[in-house]
Amino acid sequence: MTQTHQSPGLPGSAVWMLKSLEGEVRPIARKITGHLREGLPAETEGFEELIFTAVHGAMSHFIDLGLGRSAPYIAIDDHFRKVGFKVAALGQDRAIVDQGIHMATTELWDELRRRAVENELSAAALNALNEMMTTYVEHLTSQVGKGFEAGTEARDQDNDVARARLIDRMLSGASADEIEVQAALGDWTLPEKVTVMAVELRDGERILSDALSATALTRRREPTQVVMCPPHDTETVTKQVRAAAPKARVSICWPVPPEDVPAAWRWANRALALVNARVIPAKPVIDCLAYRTEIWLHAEPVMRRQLAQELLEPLLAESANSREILTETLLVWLETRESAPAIAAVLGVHPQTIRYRWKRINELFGESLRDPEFVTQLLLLLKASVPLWVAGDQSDFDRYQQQTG
Amino acid sequence: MEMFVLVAGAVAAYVLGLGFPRVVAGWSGRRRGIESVPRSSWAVAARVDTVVLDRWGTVTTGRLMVTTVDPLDPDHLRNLRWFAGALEHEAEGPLARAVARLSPRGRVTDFCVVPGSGVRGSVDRHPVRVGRPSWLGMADRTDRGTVLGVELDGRPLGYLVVGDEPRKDAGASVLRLTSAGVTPVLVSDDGSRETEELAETCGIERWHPEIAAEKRERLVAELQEQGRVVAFVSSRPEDAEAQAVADLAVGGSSGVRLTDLDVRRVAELISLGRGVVLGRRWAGPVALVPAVAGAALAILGAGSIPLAAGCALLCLVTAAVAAAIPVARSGNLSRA
Repeated sequence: MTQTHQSPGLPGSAVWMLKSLEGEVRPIARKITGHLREGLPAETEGFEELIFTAVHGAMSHFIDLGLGRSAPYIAIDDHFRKVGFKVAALGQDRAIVDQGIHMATTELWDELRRRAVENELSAAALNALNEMMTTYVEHLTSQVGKGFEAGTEARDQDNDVARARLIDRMLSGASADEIEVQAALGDWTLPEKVTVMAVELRDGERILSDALSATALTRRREPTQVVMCPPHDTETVTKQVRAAAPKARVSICWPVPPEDVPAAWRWANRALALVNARVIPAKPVIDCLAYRTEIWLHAEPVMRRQLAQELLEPLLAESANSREILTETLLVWLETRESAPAIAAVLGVHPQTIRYRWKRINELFGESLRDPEFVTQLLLLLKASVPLWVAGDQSDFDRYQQQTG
Repeated sequence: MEMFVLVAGAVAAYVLGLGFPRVVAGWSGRRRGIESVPRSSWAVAARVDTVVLDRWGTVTTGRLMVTTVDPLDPDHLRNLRWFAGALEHEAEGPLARAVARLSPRGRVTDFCVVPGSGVRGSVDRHPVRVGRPSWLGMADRTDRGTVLGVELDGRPLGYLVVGDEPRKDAGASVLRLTSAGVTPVLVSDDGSRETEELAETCGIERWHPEIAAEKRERLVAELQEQGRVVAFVSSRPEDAEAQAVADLAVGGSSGVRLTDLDVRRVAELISLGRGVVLGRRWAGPVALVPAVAGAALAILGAGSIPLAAGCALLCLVTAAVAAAIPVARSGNLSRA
């Protein structure tokens, strides 16, 4: 865009107001930049100067246009195209820029309206300003779009960026076609099934993609670092991850089809959370397949807690120690339906202790234990909860007691 | 020459008759658990007419036993035995050993003794307390013996009563003593009711409960003043003074040593003692009979040296047999 706009023919009062605004462009642009940083996603961190330059430049140019001065579009258009290009090159969504423009426009318009009220500007003058501003913003938005397209094209040529975008697409559940396209752009052979790993890094550890096989994809994604690879490379990639970050804990989900990668990512991260809750043993490498039940049963923590408070109400009068050992025994019995000596062998106690506990359990739960529905729910609940309680987490009961006073 | 042989044989037989009963009694006694008896004690044992028995190990096995297991809920009978027994395996003393015999060992943690009250700990992670009922907030009971309350998981589970474990044949052994004119006297550090019950169980008519060591010494002296020959049976070091005063000390650091203090062995000791005295009394005179017969034949002119030697030998044999028979027959505790 190289043309110079003619004066839009604003009413005199509007021109006067724009003139009064001219000396305050910088502080207003700074204020808007600050608000934008607060309102925009964390990904825009480090973009302050870019945003400020864009806002300041756009405001100055807009005022020049409003005052009928000669104001070529070249510099401002170029700047907004650069913004679009940079956002695309970094693999971010264009919506971030659109959101920023919308927020800046809204804030600037609020400022104009406030001044219009103070200066008793006519409605006609305000409408003229609004029309001019809308047109101007549309123009800038189109420049961003052009820059974003160029950036996307350039980014597609960059393997690393393309792979980063592939990871994002796979984790966000993009369509199979989209994933295939991104995989092709990233020069990554999309396998029938994918192994997803969540790596919990410690002490500033980092895993660069160079440290892993070419068949592996990796990127930092909160709360952990994601690693994806074909199932047959899992062992090799795991060793490479361990070598690159020896203190890290790796949670490896079982192979899943590409469309299930978001779920696998969630499961792998949940397994790590369960390790931290001491439900799953704290090993350096967590095989999620071995803890599928726990991962599943902890998918709804609030429901689990509510069920615990509802189904295990008879246990609330017991001490924490008594609750723990009775539920532990009940769980083993529900799982095995074995005799007292067999359960005693599992728990490492005397058979008479098991008989005593069983008598107490029957006293507490009574006929409920003959209700298949109750027993099924109880089994699932205990399977999910007993490891928590054994690990010392009695919050289920504490919370209930706080609620009921 | 013939007369010389006969006199020599008679003297040797007489000496044999005096010593041989003690040797036979020693052999016989060792088979019956009487390990050692000082030389002079056999004669004293024969004269004993009063035996003072300390309750530990004489008419009892020396151990305590749980006489009552009384759960508050009958369904908890086995739980009461198991949890109390498992906890007491960690404790020391006769009371704890008695309760511990109720169950095998278990996994006990956090065990501790609360002086004057009882013991507590966790059995298979269940908190357990065993001790005085008042310590556990349980009602006191009036059973004979030591009453213990048991608490499990903070709830009262029941009571245990611990008492003496009488020897199975204590009554028969005491009867054997009394039949032989020996008066048994039971002394005990236990309470009056418990001592009375134990005495009744064993058939002992005279008993002294809660009697301290110095009182035991006085008791022995009083019995002696009444003209009695007193044996004191005890293995407790505190009874050393009383044993020193007694005519016969059994079970102490000095005096007669027995495998254990079972009243049956005491009866057998007295029986053997009487056998020794009887043997010595008869062996000497009887042993002289073959010598007298040989001398008569020599006077009548029918004697010869071989005949004299045969008579002398017969003297020795007669002395040995006459000495051994009363000892061997001493199962019958008749007065010597």
